[in-house]
Amino acid sequence: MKATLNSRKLALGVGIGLPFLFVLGLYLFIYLPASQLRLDQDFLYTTDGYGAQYEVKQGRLAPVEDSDTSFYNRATLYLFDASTESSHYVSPEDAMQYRLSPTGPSVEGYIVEPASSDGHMPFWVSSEYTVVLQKDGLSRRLPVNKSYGFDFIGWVDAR
Amino acid sequence: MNKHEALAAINVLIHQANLSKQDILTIFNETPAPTPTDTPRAARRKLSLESIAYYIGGGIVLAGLWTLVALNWSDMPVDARLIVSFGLAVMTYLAGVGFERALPRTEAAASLYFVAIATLPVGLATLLDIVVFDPAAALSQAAIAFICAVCAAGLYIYHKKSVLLLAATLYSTWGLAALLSHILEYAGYDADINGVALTSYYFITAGFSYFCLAQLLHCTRAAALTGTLLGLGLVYTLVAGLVLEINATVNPSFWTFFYPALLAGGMYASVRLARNALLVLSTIFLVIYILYVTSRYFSDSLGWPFALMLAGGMIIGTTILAGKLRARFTRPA
Repeated sequence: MKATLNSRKLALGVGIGLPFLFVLGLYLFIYLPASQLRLDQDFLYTTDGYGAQYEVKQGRLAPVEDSDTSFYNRATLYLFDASTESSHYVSPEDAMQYRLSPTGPSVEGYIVEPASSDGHMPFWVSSEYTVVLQKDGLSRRLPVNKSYGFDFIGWVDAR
Repeated sequence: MNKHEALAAINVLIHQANLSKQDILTIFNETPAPTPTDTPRAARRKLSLESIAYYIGGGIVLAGLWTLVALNWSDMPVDARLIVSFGLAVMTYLAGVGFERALPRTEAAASLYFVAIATLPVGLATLLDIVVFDPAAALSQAAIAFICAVCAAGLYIYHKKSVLLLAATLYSTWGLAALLSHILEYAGYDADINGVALTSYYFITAGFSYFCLAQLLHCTRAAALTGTLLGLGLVYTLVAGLVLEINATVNPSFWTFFYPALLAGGMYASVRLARNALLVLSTIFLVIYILYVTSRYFSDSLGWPFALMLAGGMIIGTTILAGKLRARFTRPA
Protein backbone atom coordinates (compact mmCIF):
# COMPACT_ATOMS: atom_id res chain seq x y z
CA MET A 1 0.00 0.00 0.00
CA LYS A 2 2.77 2.42 1.01
CA ALA A 3 4.85 1.46 -2.04
CA THR A 4 1.84 2.15 -4.31
CA LEU A 5 1.37 5.52 -2.66
CA ASN A 6 5.06 6.39 -3.14
CA SER A 7 5.08 5.32 -6.80
CA ARG A 8 1.94 7.42 -7.39
CA LYS A 9 3.61 10.44 -5.80
CA LEU A 10 6.73 9.78 -7.90
CA ALA A 11 4.64 9.67 -11.08
CA LEU A 12 2.92 12.92 -10.13
CA GLY A 13 6.32 14.47 -9.34
CA VAL A 14 7.60 13.55 -12.81
CA GLY A 15 4.38 15.00 -14.30
CA ILE A 16 4.88 18.25 -12.41
CA GLY A 17 8.52 18.39 -13.56
CA LEU A 18 7.64 17.78 -17.23
CA PRO A 19 7.89 21.47 -18.31
CA PHE A 20 11.36 21.66 -16.69
CA LEU A 21 12.43 18.50 -18.58
CA PHE A 22 11.01 19.92 -21.84
CA VAL A 23 13.00 23.15 -21.56
CA LEU A 24 16.10 21.24 -20.44
CA GLY A 25 15.78 19.01 -23.52
CA LEU A 26 15.58 22.03 -25.83
CA TYR A 27 18.63 23.53 -24.11
CA LEU A 28 20.62 20.31 -24.65
CA PHE A 29 19.52 19.66 -28.24
CA ILE A 30 19.18 23.18 -29.68
CA TYR A 31 21.01 25.75 -27.56
CA LEU A 32 24.20 23.85 -26.68
CA PRO A 33 25.08 22.65 -30.23
CA ALA A 34 24.40 26.14 -31.64
CA SER A 35 26.54 27.79 -28.98
CA GLN A 36 29.52 25.75 -30.27
CA LEU A 37 29.53 27.78 -33.53
CA ARG A 38 32.60 30.03 -33.37
CA LEU A 39 33.19 32.59 -36.11
CA ASP A 40 36.77 32.46 -37.43
CA GLN A 41 36.90 35.66 -39.49
CA ASP A 42 35.99 39.35 -39.05
CA PHE A 43 33.49 40.89 -41.46
CA LEU A 44 32.26 44.30 -42.59
CA TYR A 45 28.60 45.26 -42.64
CA THR A 46 26.30 48.28 -42.84
CA THR A 47 22.99 49.09 -41.16
CA ASP A 48 20.27 51.70 -41.66
CA GLY A 49 20.95 51.92 -45.38
CA TYR A 50 18.38 51.72 -48.14
CA GLY A 51 19.87 49.00 -50.30
CA ALA A 52 23.53 48.10 -50.82
CA GLN A 53 25.84 51.13 -50.77
CA TYR A 54 29.20 49.35 -50.71
CA GLU A 55 30.62 46.37 -52.54
CA VAL A 56 33.91 44.48 -52.83
CA LYS A 57 35.87 45.22 -56.01
CA GLN A 58 39.22 43.56 -56.55
CA GLY A 59 39.49 42.72 -52.85
CA ARG A 60 38.81 46.28 -51.65
CA LEU A 61 35.78 48.21 -50.40
CA ALA A 62 34.18 50.41 -53.02
CA PRO A 63 30.95 52.47 -53.07
CA VAL A 64 28.16 51.17 -55.28
CA GLU A 65 28.00 53.74 -58.07
CA ASP A 66 24.23 54.11 -58.46
CA SER A 67 23.33 53.81 -54.74
CA ASP A 68 21.30 56.43 -52.88
CA THR A 69 23.93 58.08 -50.68
CA SER A 70 22.11 61.25 -49.70
CA PHE A 71 22.83 62.42 -46.14
CA TYR A 72 19.76 60.79 -44.53
CA ASN A 73 20.22 57.47 -46.31
CA ARG A 74 23.95 57.08 -45.71
CA ALA A 75 24.63 53.67 -44.16
CA THR A 76 26.99 53.27 -41.19
CA LEU A 77 29.94 50.91 -41.65
CA TYR A 78 30.79 48.43 -38.90
CA LEU A 79 33.57 45.91 -38.42
CA PHE A 80 32.46 42.75 -36.58
CA ASP A 81 35.36 41.42 -34.48
CA ALA A 82 35.07 37.60 -34.40
CA SER A 83 37.34 37.18 -31.36
CA THR A 84 35.26 39.44 -29.07
CA GLU A 85 31.95 39.10 -30.94
CA SER A 86 31.45 42.85 -30.89
CA SER A 87 31.02 45.56 -33.53
CA HIS A 88 33.08 48.71 -33.98
CA TYR A 89 32.36 51.72 -36.15
CA VAL A 90 34.86 52.16 -38.99
CA SER A 91 35.16 55.06 -41.37
CA PRO A 92 34.91 54.30 -45.11
CA GLU A 93 38.50 55.58 -45.52
CA ASP A 94 39.85 53.06 -42.96
CA ALA A 95 37.70 50.22 -44.34
CA MET A 96 39.08 50.81 -47.82
CA GLN A 97 42.51 49.74 -46.52
CA TYR A 98 41.24 46.22 -45.62
CA ARG A 99 41.69 43.23 -47.91
CA LEU A 100 38.23 41.71 -48.34
CA SER A 101 36.56 38.58 -49.72
CA PRO A 102 33.12 39.09 -51.25
CA THR A 103 29.89 37.56 -49.89
CA GLY A 104 29.64 33.81 -49.48
CA PRO A 105 30.86 31.34 -46.90
CA SER A 106 33.92 32.19 -44.79
CA VAL A 107 37.14 30.15 -45.01
CA GLU A 108 35.69 27.58 -42.58
CA GLY A 109 32.25 27.55 -44.20
CA TYR A 110 30.30 29.99 -42.01
CA ILE A 111 27.48 32.10 -43.45
CA VAL A 112 26.19 35.35 -41.94
CA GLU A 113 22.75 36.52 -42.98
CA PRO A 114 19.73 38.46 -41.71
CA ALA A 115 16.75 36.57 -40.29
CA SER A 116 13.59 37.27 -38.38
CA SER A 117 12.19 35.64 -35.26
CA ASP A 118 8.67 35.37 -33.92
CA GLY A 119 9.21 38.20 -31.41
CA HIS A 120 9.40 38.20 -27.63
CA MET A 121 7.70 36.16 -24.95
CA PRO A 122 4.95 36.30 -23.79
CA PHE A 123 2.98 37.75 -26.71
CA TRP A 124 5.04 37.03 -29.84
CA VAL A 125 3.07 39.67 -31.66
CA SER A 126 5.85 41.41 -33.54
CA SER A 127 8.66 39.90 -35.55
CA GLU A 128 12.19 40.77 -34.53
CA TYR A 129 14.93 41.25 -37.12
CA THR A 130 18.27 39.75 -36.30
CA VAL A 131 21.47 38.42 -37.86
CA VAL A 132 22.43 34.76 -37.63
CA LEU A 133 25.58 32.71 -38.02
CA GLN A 134 25.03 29.42 -39.86
CA LYS A 135 27.02 26.27 -40.54
CA ASP A 136 26.12 22.60 -41.04
CA GLY A 137 22.41 23.08 -40.36
CA LEU A 138 23.04 24.91 -37.07
CA SER A 139 22.41 28.60 -36.52
CA ARG A 140 22.63 31.14 -33.74
CA ARG A 141 22.12 34.85 -33.29
CA LEU A 142 25.07 37.22 -33.66
CA PRO A 143 25.22 40.34 -31.46
CA VAL A 144 25.36 42.97 -34.21
CA ASN A 145 24.65 46.62 -33.48
CA LYS A 146 21.40 47.05 -35.36
CA SER A 147 19.93 44.21 -37.28
CA TYR A 148 17.32 46.19 -39.25
CA GLY A 149 18.68 47.15 -42.67
CA PHE A 150 21.67 44.80 -42.20
CA ASP A 151 23.81 44.41 -45.32
CA PHE A 152 26.78 42.03 -45.33
CA ILE A 153 29.68 43.44 -47.37
CA GLY A 154 32.52 40.94 -47.10
CA TRP A 155 34.95 38.93 -44.99
CA VAL A 156 38.11 40.68 -43.80
CA ASP A 157 41.17 38.73 -44.95
CA ALA A 158 43.73 41.27 -43.71
CA ARG A 159 43.65 44.68 -42.05
CA MET B 1 -35.81 10.74 23.17
CA ASN B 2 -36.91 14.37 23.21
CA LYS B 3 -35.35 17.22 25.15
CA HIS B 4 -37.56 16.79 28.28
CA GLU B 5 -36.92 13.04 28.45
CA ALA B 6 -33.17 13.61 28.05
CA LEU B 7 -33.16 16.24 30.84
CA ALA B 8 -35.19 13.90 33.09
CA ALA B 9 -32.75 11.05 32.46
CA ILE B 10 -29.80 13.35 33.24
CA ASN B 11 -31.57 14.47 36.45
CA VAL B 12 -31.95 10.84 37.58
CA LEU B 13 -28.27 10.12 36.89
CA ILE B 14 -27.21 13.25 38.83
CA HIS B 15 -29.32 12.21 41.88
CA GLN B 16 -27.85 8.72 41.72
CA ALA B 17 -24.41 10.43 41.81
CA ASN B 18 -23.44 8.76 38.52
CA LEU B 19 -23.08 12.11 36.69
CA SER B 20 -21.29 15.25 37.93
CA LYS B 21 -21.43 18.86 36.77
CA GLN B 22 -17.85 18.40 35.51
CA ASP B 23 -18.97 15.53 33.25
CA ILE B 24 -21.60 17.77 31.65
CA LEU B 25 -19.09 20.59 31.12
CA THR B 26 -16.58 18.13 29.61
CA ILE B 27 -19.20 17.11 27.04
CA PHE B 28 -19.66 20.79 26.10
CA ASN B 29 -15.90 21.44 25.86
CA GLU B 30 -15.16 18.35 23.78
CA THR B 31 -17.87 18.89 21.22
CA PRO B 32 -15.99 19.79 18.02
CA ALA B 33 -16.68 23.09 16.27
CA PRO B 34 -18.70 22.78 13.09
CA THR B 35 -16.53 22.09 10.05
CA PRO B 36 -16.89 24.10 6.81
CA THR B 37 -18.82 21.18 5.31
CA ASP B 38 -21.38 21.44 8.13
CA THR B 39 -22.15 25.06 7.31
CA PRO B 40 -25.25 25.66 5.26
CA ARG B 41 -24.82 26.13 1.54
CA ALA B 42 -25.93 29.77 1.75
CA ALA B 43 -23.28 30.47 4.39
CA ARG B 44 -20.58 28.87 2.27
CA ARG B 45 -21.66 30.91 -0.73
CA LYS B 46 -21.50 34.03 1.43
CA LEU B 47 -17.97 33.14 2.53
CA SER B 48 -16.98 32.58 -1.08
CA LEU B 49 -18.43 35.94 -2.17
CA GLU B 50 -16.67 37.57 0.77
CA SER B 51 -13.34 36.10 -0.40
CA ILE B 52 -13.94 37.25 -3.96
CA ALA B 53 -14.79 40.75 -2.67
CA TYR B 54 -11.47 40.85 -0.79
CA TYR B 55 -9.55 40.01 -3.99
CA ILE B 56 -11.52 42.54 -6.06
CA GLY B 57 -10.92 45.17 -3.38
CA GLY B 58 -7.19 44.35 -3.33
CA GLY B 59 -7.05 44.58 -7.12
CA ILE B 60 -8.78 47.98 -7.14
CA VAL B 61 -6.41 49.31 -4.47
CA LEU B 62 -3.49 48.07 -6.57
CA ALA B 63 -4.90 49.64 -9.75
CA GLY B 64 -5.31 52.97 -7.95
CA LEU B 65 -1.78 52.89 -6.57
CA TRP B 66 -0.28 51.99 -9.92
CA THR B 67 -2.26 54.70 -11.70
CA LEU B 68 -0.88 57.21 -9.22
CA VAL B 69 2.66 55.91 -9.73
CA ALA B 70 2.32 55.73 -13.54
CA LEU B 71 1.11 59.34 -13.74
CA ASN B 72 4.22 60.53 -11.89
CA TRP B 73 6.71 57.88 -13.11
CA SER B 74 8.49 60.05 -15.70
CA ASP B 75 9.08 62.83 -13.13
CA MET B 76 10.58 60.50 -10.53
CA PRO B 77 14.33 60.12 -10.02
CA VAL B 78 15.73 56.60 -10.41
CA ASP B 79 16.04 55.85 -6.67
CA ALA B 80 12.47 57.07 -6.07
CA ARG B 81 11.24 54.66 -8.76
CA LEU B 82 13.00 51.81 -7.00
CA ILE B 83 11.62 52.80 -3.59
CA VAL B 84 8.09 53.19 -4.93
CA SER B 85 8.04 49.93 -6.91
CA PHE B 86 9.60 47.78 -4.17
CA GLY B 87 7.91 49.86 -1.48
CA LEU B 88 4.45 49.02 -2.79
CA ALA B 89 5.19 45.30 -2.61
CA VAL B 90 6.67 45.55 0.90
CA MET B 91 3.91 47.81 2.25
CA THR B 92 1.16 45.58 0.86
CA TYR B 93 2.88 42.55 2.36
CA LEU B 94 3.16 44.24 5.78
CA ALA B 95 -0.52 45.22 5.58
CA GLY B 96 -1.26 41.53 4.90
CA VAL B 97 0.69 40.52 8.01
CA GLY B 98 -1.34 43.06 10.02
CA PHE B 99 -4.64 41.73 8.64
CA GLU B 100 -3.59 38.14 9.33
CA ARG B 101 -3.14 39.02 13.00
CA ALA B 102 -6.26 41.20 13.27
CA LEU B 103 -8.64 39.09 11.11
CA PRO B 104 -7.16 35.59 11.09
CA ARG B 105 -10.36 33.89 9.87
CA THR B 106 -10.80 35.99 6.72
CA GLU B 107 -9.20 36.01 3.28
CA ALA B 108 -8.12 39.65 3.65
CA ALA B 109 -4.49 38.76 4.43
CA ALA B 110 -4.26 36.27 1.55
CA SER B 111 -5.57 38.82 -0.94
CA LEU B 112 -2.97 41.38 0.21
CA TYR B 113 -0.17 38.77 0.01
CA PHE B 114 -1.28 38.02 -3.53
CA VAL B 115 -1.24 41.72 -4.45
CA ALA B 116 2.24 42.06 -2.86
CA ILE B 117 3.67 39.11 -4.80
CA ALA B 118 1.99 40.35 -8.00
CA THR B 119 3.68 43.75 -7.52
CA LEU B 120 7.15 42.33 -6.92
CA PRO B 121 8.08 41.86 -10.64
CA VAL B 122 7.73 45.62 -11.21
CA GLY B 123 10.28 46.33 -8.47
CA LEU B 124 12.65 43.72 -9.87
CA ALA B 125 12.24 45.06 -13.43
CA THR B 126 13.02 48.58 -12.17
CA LEU B 127 16.14 47.25 -10.44
CA LEU B 128 17.30 45.45 -13.61
CA ASP B 129 16.67 48.61 -15.63
CA ILE B 130 18.83 50.63 -13.22
CA VAL B 131 21.73 48.15 -13.43
CA VAL B 132 21.60 48.33 -17.26
CA PHE B 133 19.86 45.04 -18.07
CA ASP B 134 16.96 45.17 -20.48
CA PRO B 135 13.95 44.11 -18.35
CA ALA B 136 12.07 43.04 -21.49
CA ALA B 137 14.82 40.60 -22.55
CA ALA B 138 13.93 36.93 -22.16
CA LEU B 139 16.72 36.18 -19.67
CA SER B 140 15.75 39.19 -17.51
CA GLN B 141 12.15 37.99 -17.51
CA ALA B 142 13.26 34.50 -16.52
CA ALA B 143 15.33 35.93 -13.64
CA ILE B 144 12.42 38.11 -12.45
CA ALA B 145 9.95 35.21 -12.67
CA PHE B 146 12.15 32.71 -10.81
CA ILE B 147 12.99 35.21 -8.03
CA CYS B 148 9.26 35.87 -7.62
CA ALA B 149 8.52 32.12 -7.65
CA VAL B 150 11.07 31.51 -4.88
CA CYS B 151 9.67 34.43 -2.83
CA ALA B 152 6.09 33.17 -3.28
CA ALA B 153 7.08 29.61 -2.32
CA GLY B 154 8.95 30.90 0.74
CA LEU B 155 5.98 32.99 1.84
CA TYR B 156 3.67 29.99 1.30
CA ILE B 157 5.82 27.86 3.59
CA TYR B 158 5.67 30.61 6.23
CA HIS B 159 2.05 31.82 5.92
CA LYS B 160 0.38 28.65 4.56
CA LYS B 161 -1.84 30.67 2.22
CA SER B 162 -2.64 28.59 -0.85
CA VAL B 163 -2.87 31.66 -3.08
CA LEU B 164 0.91 32.06 -2.64
CA LEU B 165 1.45 28.53 -3.92
CA LEU B 166 -0.64 29.45 -6.98
CA ALA B 167 1.58 32.52 -7.48
CA ALA B 168 4.73 30.35 -7.24
CA THR B 169 3.29 27.97 -9.85
CA LEU B 170 2.37 30.79 -12.26
CA TYR B 171 5.77 32.46 -11.86
CA SER B 172 7.56 29.15 -12.51
CA THR B 173 5.55 28.72 -15.71
CA TRP B 174 6.43 32.26 -16.77
CA GLY B 175 10.12 31.73 -15.95
CA LEU B 176 10.36 28.53 -17.99
CA ALA B 177 8.48 30.15 -20.89
CA ALA B 178 11.01 33.01 -20.79
CA LEU B 179 13.91 30.52 -20.85
CA LEU B 180 12.30 28.78 -23.81
CA SER B 181 11.95 32.16 -25.51
CA HIS B 182 15.66 32.85 -24.89
CA ILE B 183 16.64 29.49 -26.42
CA LEU B 184 14.50 30.18 -29.50
CA GLU B 185 15.79 33.74 -29.84
CA TYR B 186 19.38 32.53 -29.67
CA ALA B 187 19.27 29.35 -31.73
CA GLY B 188 15.80 28.97 -33.19
CA TYR B 189 16.48 30.13 -36.75
CA ASP B 190 16.91 26.73 -38.36
CA ALA B 191 14.18 25.98 -40.88
CA ASP B 192 13.45 22.72 -39.03
CA ILE B 193 12.78 24.53 -35.75
CA ASN B 194 9.21 25.76 -35.41
CA GLY B 195 9.20 28.20 -32.49
CA VAL B 196 5.42 28.52 -32.30
CA ALA B 197 4.99 24.72 -32.24
CA LEU B 198 7.66 24.27 -29.55
CA THR B 199 6.06 26.99 -27.43
CA SER B 200 2.67 25.30 -27.83
CA TYR B 201 4.10 21.94 -26.78
CA TYR B 202 5.66 23.64 -23.77
CA PHE B 203 2.24 24.94 -22.69
CA ILE B 204 0.75 21.46 -23.17
CA THR B 205 3.39 20.05 -20.79
CA ALA B 206 2.64 22.93 -18.40
CA GLY B 207 -1.07 22.06 -18.55
CA PHE B 208 -0.29 18.41 -17.79
CA SER B 209 1.94 19.55 -14.94
CA TYR B 210 -0.94 21.57 -13.46
CA PHE B 211 -3.21 18.49 -13.61
CA CYS B 212 -0.58 16.47 -11.70
CA LEU B 213 -0.12 19.27 -9.16
CA ALA B 214 -3.89 19.48 -8.65
CA GLN B 215 -3.96 15.73 -8.04
CA LEU B 216 -1.08 15.99 -5.55
CA LEU B 217 -2.70 18.87 -3.63
CA HIS B 218 -6.13 17.24 -3.62
CA CYS B 219 -5.94 16.02 -0.02
CA THR B 220 -3.67 18.68 1.44
CA ARG B 221 -4.03 22.08 3.07
CA ALA B 222 -3.91 23.68 -0.41
CA ALA B 223 -6.85 21.62 -1.74
CA ALA B 224 -8.70 24.88 -2.53
CA LEU B 225 -6.31 25.36 -5.47
CA THR B 226 -7.38 22.14 -7.19
CA GLY B 227 -10.17 23.70 -9.25
CA THR B 228 -8.05 26.69 -10.33
CA LEU B 229 -5.13 24.47 -11.36
CA LEU B 230 -7.38 22.10 -13.31
CA GLY B 231 -9.01 25.07 -15.09
CA LEU B 232 -5.68 26.71 -15.94
CA GLY B 233 -4.20 23.39 -17.08
CA LEU B 234 -7.16 22.78 -19.37
CA VAL B 235 -6.97 26.31 -20.82
CA TYR B 236 -3.21 25.96 -21.50
CA THR B 237 -3.74 22.60 -23.21
CA LEU B 238 -6.73 23.63 -25.31
CA VAL B 239 -5.25 26.97 -26.43
CA ALA B 240 -1.93 25.31 -27.33
CA GLY B 241 -3.72 22.52 -29.25
CA LEU B 242 -5.71 25.09 -31.20
CA VAL B 243 -2.54 27.08 -32.03
CA LEU B 244 -0.88 23.85 -33.27
CA GLU B 245 -3.87 23.10 -35.51
CA ILE B 246 -3.99 26.67 -36.87
CA ASN B 247 -0.23 26.68 -37.59
CA ALA B 248 -0.17 23.19 -39.13
CA THR B 249 1.49 23.12 -42.55
CA VAL B 250 -0.65 20.22 -43.83
CA ASN B 251 -4.45 20.06 -44.05
CA PRO B 252 -5.92 18.20 -42.25
CA SER B 253 -3.17 17.81 -39.65
CA PHE B 254 -2.72 15.44 -36.73
CA TRP B 255 -4.25 18.09 -34.45
CA THR B 256 -7.39 18.31 -36.57
CA PHE B 257 -8.27 14.81 -35.37
CA PHE B 258 -6.57 14.85 -31.96
CA TYR B 259 -8.07 18.14 -30.79
CA PRO B 260 -11.61 16.69 -30.47
CA ALA B 261 -10.05 13.93 -28.34
CA LEU B 262 -8.59 16.63 -26.07
CA LEU B 263 -12.01 18.27 -25.79
CA ALA B 264 -13.61 14.92 -25.02
CA GLY B 265 -10.92 14.41 -22.36
CA GLY B 266 -11.84 17.77 -20.81
CA MET B 267 -15.53 16.81 -20.74
CA TYR B 268 -14.74 13.37 -19.32
CA ALA B 269 -12.60 15.00 -16.60
CA SER B 270 -15.46 17.39 -15.78
CA VAL B 271 -17.80 14.43 -15.25
CA ARG B 272 -15.24 12.29 -13.45
CA LEU B 273 -14.20 15.08 -11.08
CA ALA B 274 -17.70 16.63 -10.97
CA ARG B 275 -16.34 20.05 -11.99
CA ASN B 276 -18.78 22.30 -13.79
CA ALA B 277 -16.04 24.82 -14.69
CA LEU B 278 -14.14 22.20 -16.74
CA LEU B 279 -17.32 21.41 -18.66
CA VAL B 280 -17.93 25.10 -19.39
CA LEU B 281 -14.32 25.58 -20.58
CA SER B 282 -14.44 22.46 -22.78
CA THR B 283 -17.75 23.58 -24.30
CA ILE B 284 -16.42 27.09 -25.07
CA PHE B 285 -13.37 25.61 -26.82
CA LEU B 286 -15.54 23.09 -28.67
CA VAL B 287 -17.65 25.95 -30.04
CA ILE B 288 -14.48 27.81 -31.10
CA TYR B 289 -13.15 24.64 -32.74
CA ILE B 290 -16.42 24.02 -34.61
CA LEU B 291 -16.36 27.58 -35.99
CA TYR B 292 -12.68 27.24 -36.93
CA VAL B 293 -13.05 23.85 -38.65
CA THR B 294 -16.16 25.02 -40.49
CA SER B 295 -14.43 28.11 -41.84
CA ARG B 296 -11.23 26.24 -42.76
CA TYR B 297 -12.56 23.03 -44.25
CA PHE B 298 -16.20 23.51 -45.23
CA SER B 299 -16.63 27.15 -46.28
CA ASP B 300 -15.09 26.47 -49.70
CA SER B 301 -16.67 23.09 -50.43
CA LEU B 302 -20.18 23.72 -49.00
CA GLY B 303 -20.21 27.50 -49.33
CA TRP B 304 -20.59 29.92 -46.43
CA PRO B 305 -24.40 29.71 -46.03
CA PHE B 306 -24.41 25.91 -45.59
CA ALA B 307 -21.21 26.04 -43.53
CA LEU B 308 -22.82 28.52 -41.14
CA MET B 309 -25.95 26.37 -40.85
CA LEU B 310 -23.77 23.33 -40.14
CA ALA B 311 -21.74 25.23 -37.52
CA GLY B 312 -24.90 26.60 -35.86
CA GLY B 313 -26.47 23.12 -35.70
CA MET B 314 -23.31 21.60 -34.20
CA ILE B 315 -23.06 24.38 -31.61
CA ILE B 316 -26.71 23.84 -30.59
CA GLY B 317 -26.03 20.08 -30.31
CA THR B 318 -22.90 20.74 -28.23
CA THR B 319 -24.79 23.05 -25.90
CA ILE B 320 -27.57 20.46 -25.39
CA LEU B 321 -24.97 17.76 -24.66
CA ALA B 322 -23.12 20.03 -22.20
CA GLY B 323 -26.40 20.94 -20.47
CA LYS B 324 -27.33 17.27 -20.03
CA LEU B 325 -23.87 16.42 -18.69
CA ARG B 326 -24.00 19.33 -16.26
CA ALA B 327 -27.45 18.42 -15.00
CA ARG B 328 -26.59 14.77 -14.46
CA PHE B 329 -22.98 14.62 -13.36
CA THR B 330 -21.36 17.87 -12.30
CA ARG B 331 -21.65 20.39 -9.51
CA PRO B 332 -20.75 24.08 -9.37
CA ALA B 333 -16.97 24.65 -9.20
